[in-house]
Amino acid sequence: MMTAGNDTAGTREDELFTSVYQQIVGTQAAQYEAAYDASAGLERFTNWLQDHAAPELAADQVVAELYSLHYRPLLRLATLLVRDLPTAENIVLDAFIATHRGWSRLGDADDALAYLRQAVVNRCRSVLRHRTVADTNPHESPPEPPGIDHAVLDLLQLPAARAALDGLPRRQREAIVLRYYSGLPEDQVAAAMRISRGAVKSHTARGLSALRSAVEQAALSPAPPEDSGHEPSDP
Amino acid sequence: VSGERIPKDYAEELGDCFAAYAPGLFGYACALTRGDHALADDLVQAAFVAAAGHWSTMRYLRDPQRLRWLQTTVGNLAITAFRRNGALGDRLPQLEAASRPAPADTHADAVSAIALQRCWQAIQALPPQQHAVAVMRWLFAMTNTEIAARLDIADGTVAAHVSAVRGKLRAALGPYDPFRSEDGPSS
Repeated sequence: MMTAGNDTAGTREDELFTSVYQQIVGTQAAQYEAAYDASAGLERFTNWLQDHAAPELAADQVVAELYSLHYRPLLRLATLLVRDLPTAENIVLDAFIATHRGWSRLGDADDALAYLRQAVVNRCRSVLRHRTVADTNPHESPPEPPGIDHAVLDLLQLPAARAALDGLPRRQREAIVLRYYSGLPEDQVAAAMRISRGAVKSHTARGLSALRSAVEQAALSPAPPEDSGHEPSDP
Repeated sequence: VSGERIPKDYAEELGDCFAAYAPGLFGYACALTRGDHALADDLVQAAFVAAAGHWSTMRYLRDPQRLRWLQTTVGNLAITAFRRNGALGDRLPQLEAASRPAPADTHADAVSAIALQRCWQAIQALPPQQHAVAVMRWLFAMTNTEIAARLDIADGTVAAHVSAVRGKLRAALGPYDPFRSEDGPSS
């Protein structure tokens, strides 16, 4: 009876009114609940959710941006791996579509680029696996390489190295193409190939030394139709 | 908060949560707004929009906590609506003349159901600001000072509304008002 606050009658009356309000709200709520158009409400809320959906909007934007920035380098990568431009174009486009579709699982743009590269490499692998006849069409000449490690790039520019590249084991060729033609750091090459950094190093090193010895051999053997400023060598 | 983008898995969970709780919350909102269906619908939507903004934590709540959070939010949004509508002075609630009293099996329950029905009619007839004050005081257990601050009105106005509603509820309770003998009928 002697509770704190206003007049005691008021306090006890407050308890009564609280109970009255609670009971009234309880019974009225139950009646109104039955009148609720649940599907209309859900539709309205679902529309709101769609208007505020993160994934789809972001996917469009980010994939469009990735496309404008990375289409050409990825196409170059795929071209070097499958040695056939139309196939490479299909592969890259396919990889972009897969990235867009899988966007909600991907998170941010950096992940998406790694995913794209991996998708391109995987698709190139399966194309090569299904290709029974080894190498009927001559490879396209790839465009300008990015500016890293000039000694290696000069080496890779040599026609003999280019020819030898196609003869390398698959992983060595992938590692070299990703590392030098696509200009990726080692960890990203590792991610794209799904192997360790150490394995990237060793594939790259082995591939490069194979290319070097191929170039040396080409230089030692009698020159075919000579190309540069060497004087006629017959005394 | 509402400018945030909702990830897809959140959206699915929110849709499920809406399907589970929206009808009950709508009933609650209708009771608070004295049968204003459109406003109640807006309050429910707004509560779930707020939930979407807090979903990164709310998704880990257990069902009763989640429901309580949603009910509290509907209540707070209703207060905001009271304040806005009270300031405008219009948007009188549609009086629902024929809302059936709940079925009752004992005599005592029947009596109190009738008394409650009369109270509900009295509540529906309250001016908007008196209704706001009464809900905040007796349903949300707020003090007069808190109510005055939330509705941006003077303490004395709150006290006047409280005593006015008291008189009307006493009259509605009639013989079932235990304080009837102590207090004379005021005003």
